[in-house]
Amino acid sequence: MKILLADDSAFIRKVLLKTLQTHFETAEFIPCSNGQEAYDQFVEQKPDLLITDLLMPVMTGQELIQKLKDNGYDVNAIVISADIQSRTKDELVALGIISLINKPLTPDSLNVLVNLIRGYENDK
Amino acid sequence: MINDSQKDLLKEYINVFVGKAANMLSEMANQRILLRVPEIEILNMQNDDKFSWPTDGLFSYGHIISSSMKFGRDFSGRALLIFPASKAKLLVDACLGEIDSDDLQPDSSQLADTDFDVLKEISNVILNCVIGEFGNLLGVKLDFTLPDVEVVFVSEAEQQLYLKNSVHILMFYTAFTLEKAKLDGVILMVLGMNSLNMLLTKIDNILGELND
Repeated sequence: MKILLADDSAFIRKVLLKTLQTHFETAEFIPCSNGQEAYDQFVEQKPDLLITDLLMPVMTGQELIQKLKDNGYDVNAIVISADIQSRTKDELVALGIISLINKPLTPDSLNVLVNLIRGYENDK
Repeated sequence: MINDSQKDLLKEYINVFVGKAANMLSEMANQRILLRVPEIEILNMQNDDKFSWPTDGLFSYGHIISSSMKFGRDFSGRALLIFPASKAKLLVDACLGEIDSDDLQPDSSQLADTDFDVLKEISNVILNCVIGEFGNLLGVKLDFTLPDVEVVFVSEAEQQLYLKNSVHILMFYTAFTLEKAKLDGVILMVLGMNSLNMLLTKIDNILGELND
């Protein structure tokens, strides 16, 4: 399984990598630091799963998902964001994301993320 | 004063804190608030550091609306919410549900006492939320004063004087855009050396835990 991780925070990328590598030893991870880089990597590497922040420089996570969908890509996205507005959530649901996890990342929210990925793996 | 790893993690926390404040503002104004990636710097006023933020003149010349709130105990300082006076009325109207005036460009002189009350409440919510989250991060209880709201004319020479008596300033610039009224704001946090060290020690501890 290929998982693309997009977050402008090096700390968050490190936390996600450390956690997910423990639970998904055979998975391949593609870390990216902004939406544009994530878009380019998605097009090139065609990951099974996209885990993305929303608020990023150059291109936001929401713009990233929208652009991928507009260009015909099958996007299985889990969004991790500090934006907790209900309107944002509504727009993401309309984009067909798998789930939204609110920051800050805690052991509980990381468990939720791991279970979401396991669920995705099982459903595939 | 602050290295890249500290800045990265601090920015991440501020992102979360401002996200929560924006949610509250969104509910007050009944509009979605669009956020931008915050910029962070620690300024030492004694070293004559200058402001050099992409604020489009926000914190430069002219009238600004400034709300400030003191907080204290173990972690103490002053937080300020600053935005152009020309947009203050739009923000007030949005929160009062009277935002049909997209083309309204009111002058600060049009602000009534009731407008200042609304601005004080908005500042109270935003600054309380952000400061409170810093308290939660540090695991300390903070006391707050009620915010003071004032219209200030800031000349170039007065920029530094406006923040006089400040030794170190944790400055984070963020912008929030309402659906119907573009409004850029700056949040400043003025910290003494002890409080700043307390915050950076906590950040270092969290970074250290990740590397263990």
